[in-house]
Amino acid sequence: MSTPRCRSFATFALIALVALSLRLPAFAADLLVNMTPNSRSGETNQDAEPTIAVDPNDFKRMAGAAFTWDNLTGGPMVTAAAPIFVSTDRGLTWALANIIPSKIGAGFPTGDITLSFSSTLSGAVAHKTSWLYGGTLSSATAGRPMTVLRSQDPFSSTLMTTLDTRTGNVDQPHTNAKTSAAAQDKLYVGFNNGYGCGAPSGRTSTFDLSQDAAAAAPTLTLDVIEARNTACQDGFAQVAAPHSDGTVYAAFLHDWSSSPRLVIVRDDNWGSGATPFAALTDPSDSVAGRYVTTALTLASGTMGQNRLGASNVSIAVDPGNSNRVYVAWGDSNGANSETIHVRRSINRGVDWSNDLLTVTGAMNPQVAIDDIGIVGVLYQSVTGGRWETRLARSNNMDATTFATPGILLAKQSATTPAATYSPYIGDYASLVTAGSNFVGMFCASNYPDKANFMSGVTFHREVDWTAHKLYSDAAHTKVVAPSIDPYFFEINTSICNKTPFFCNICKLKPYLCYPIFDPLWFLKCPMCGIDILVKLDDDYYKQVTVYDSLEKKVGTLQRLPEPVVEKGVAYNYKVSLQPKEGLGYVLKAELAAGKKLPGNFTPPVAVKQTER
Amino acid sequence: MTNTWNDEATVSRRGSDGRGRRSAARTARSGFPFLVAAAALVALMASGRALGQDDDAAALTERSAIVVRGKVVKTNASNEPMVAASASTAVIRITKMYAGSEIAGDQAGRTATVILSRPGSVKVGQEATFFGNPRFMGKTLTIADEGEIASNAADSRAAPSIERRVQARRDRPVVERLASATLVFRGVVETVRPLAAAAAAPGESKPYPTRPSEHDPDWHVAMVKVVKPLRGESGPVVTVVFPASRDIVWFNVPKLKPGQDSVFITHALSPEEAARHRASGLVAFMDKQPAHVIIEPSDVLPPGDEARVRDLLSTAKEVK
Repeated sequence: MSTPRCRSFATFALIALVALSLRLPAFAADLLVNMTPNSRSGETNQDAEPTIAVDPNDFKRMAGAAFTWDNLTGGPMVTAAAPIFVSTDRGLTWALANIIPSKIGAGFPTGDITLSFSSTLSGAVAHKTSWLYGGTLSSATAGRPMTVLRSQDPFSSTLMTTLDTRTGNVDQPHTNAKTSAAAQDKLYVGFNNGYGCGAPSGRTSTFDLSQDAAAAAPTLTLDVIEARNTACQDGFAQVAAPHSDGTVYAAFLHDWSSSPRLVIVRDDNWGSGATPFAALTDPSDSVAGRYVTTALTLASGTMGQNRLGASNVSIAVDPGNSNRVYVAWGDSNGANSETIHVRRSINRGVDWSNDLLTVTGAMNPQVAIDDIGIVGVLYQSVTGGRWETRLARSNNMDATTFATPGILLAKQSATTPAATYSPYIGDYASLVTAGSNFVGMFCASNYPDKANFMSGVTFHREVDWTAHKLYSDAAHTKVVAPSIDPYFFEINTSICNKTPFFCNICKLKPYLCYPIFDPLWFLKCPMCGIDILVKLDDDYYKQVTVYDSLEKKVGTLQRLPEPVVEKGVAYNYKVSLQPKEGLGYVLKAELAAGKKLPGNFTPPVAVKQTER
Repeated sequence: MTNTWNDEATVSRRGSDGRGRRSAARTARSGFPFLVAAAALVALMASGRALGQDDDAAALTERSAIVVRGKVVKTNASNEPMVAASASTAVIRITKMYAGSEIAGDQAGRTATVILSRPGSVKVGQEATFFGNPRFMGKTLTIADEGEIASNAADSRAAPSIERRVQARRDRPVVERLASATLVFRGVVETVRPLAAAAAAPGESKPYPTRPSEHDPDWHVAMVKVVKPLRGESGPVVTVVFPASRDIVWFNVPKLKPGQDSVFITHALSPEEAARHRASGLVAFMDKQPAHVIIEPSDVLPPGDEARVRDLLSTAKEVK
């Protein structure tokens, strides 16, 4: 005879068993980590202006950087190598690896710095890793030249190799690497070459570009991507967004010193032709470079101790569809304030939307698109005397609306600690993706108050959360003053963030669902049908079912008698559908017995319209 | 077997792939052989001793940002996840820091991983002095050793020498700046004013952008009364141009204030710098009147460093 206690245990066990049998997905918690390691608990530097890179071959491997000194107090360098942050456990813990060439006695560790991993395994012996590239304003030699750097193994703490050096009035290198289908590392380091009226005709927007950066001795060439004259110079940021199909977009502020306008350029073959980045022209003058805005009034002065107007341009291309590109920038919101804007194009940069997102009193917009087409926008705003850092994600099928104001990552004082140099938190923040998740890095005060951070924040430096104090020692006897620290975050994102309809279909295994939607299907030809072509590895999948966004099953992928080759990709499955306005689809995969995907189900997909 | 202070022939040292050695080689290649020689001689003279028993400690200290005394806790071990345990790694407990506390604070009492200069060169329980550079700073410190020297009774004699070598390493940037200085003097700042962009001669530069660059130096001009010349000839008052900018690349360059008493190590504009700063009006200003610039953290030192600078200058002169 069973007792009540036994019955309740049996009930619990039954629930547990049911849950297990359903194999409910394990939702990892969102992550927010202060990156300063424990051995640097005594550090009081202003670690501003972050950049983060995730190894596409293994999301556990990450590298980040900021203005981080080799010493604890921001004094002149005491070694000849400046540190970057590295993690091999997907951001849970970080260590500083001194691998950026610098100089003993240099006043700054590195100038502006950005990092990017390619997808090419480097062959390093000590650690499996992809090549890591960087662009920096070097403190190793006089005149802080822009140097292009490469590391075969950032986790072994070997000095990065200098691939190229550009001298003169150079500024703000933005690094982006992408590996082509031909296994070449395409490297784009956008930088301002000749600011202060130092470039011919004031065309300062430039790429230092390599078509094969992983080669033993890669060639780097300069491409001026500004096709128009300016009064003196372009804006300081020139940012690339390469896609694996060879499409490369870039954004910059044309004529920064006189009549600034946001311009997008595009190249359809990795920027490799005789006249690169000329694929997109503006209808007003037929010159390369599409204007996205009319003349802008740029922000100036300071906001929350951070200077304004130095950068704030970001661009991202949809990894699943190179026609879709999003851009973010900032302009004036009156004295000492900035407004950020986000717009998009769905036809390769030819036409641009109005603002999809506008945030006043905000700066450092960073846009990224995950592997299921969800758009993330990281920004930092001053609200009520506090720096708020937020991630806003798109929340509809077409990624035209955003859940605002977004997830609050931190809200720290904008007045303390006092700035020791400029910029206070950085002229930019950093946002990338790891599969469907958003991964980023930002800088903010390390004043320890859990109420000021997203739930679950982790500090590795010595901290007393109750007393709101930092310490340099484990015994908590030596108090350390608050300073600006770098923070890492990863926000879990799935198809459930795309639309609740798809979530209903895919809630048990969201990682096995791939959404597809393009408003152009209906806009271009309301009567046409579409063929969704998919490349699948037969060994992995038992079946792929197609549902529409009304949760109705509309078909299954059928194997083609002969593959259809598009842009070098051999598609071997197809489903034919009749789209309706506002209707999207989701491919729901069922894996073959014993098979497990290394990541999300994100097969190569092409959509072709068909006459009916 | 680990060596002792007295065992010069068998001191464990990193091979030619050591970062410190590469760094020295780079410095030499980049046109500073004189400076390297000067720095070495400075170190030698600072010790007040002839080459002898602690030469190896001196040489190792020159190449090492971190010098610690510690006891070996584990061999074939590593506390750092990114460093695999091997015969070349050991975990030590730090008992004293001679150099490197500015990198990670006083690590005395904490454990650290050392990547040994020679596999198997230490034993558990052994006490030694470890000379190296930071490899990783994570939960604990990882030091890539340039060399290790076992501790013995000679420690107390050698420790002051190490400390002098540490100072010589700190002097290196100053020695470098002295080598290229136009003037070295003790002086007092009389006035400070911004360098007006209008100083540019007509037609010499293009119009300055409506907004300054984020890395704009914000040149200021200081009139400095010479109290005591240390090298070079000048009038009683020297015109010194310095970057007042608080930007990341400039903020550690000293900002001059009226009444400031300092040792000044001034420079001329190199052709490259002149080209870079032409648009700011600096070149035009310096063409009109004799002026000197300070653009590195070591170009202005506290008045208490006068004797130090004097010593460094006399050493450099002897090397010449």
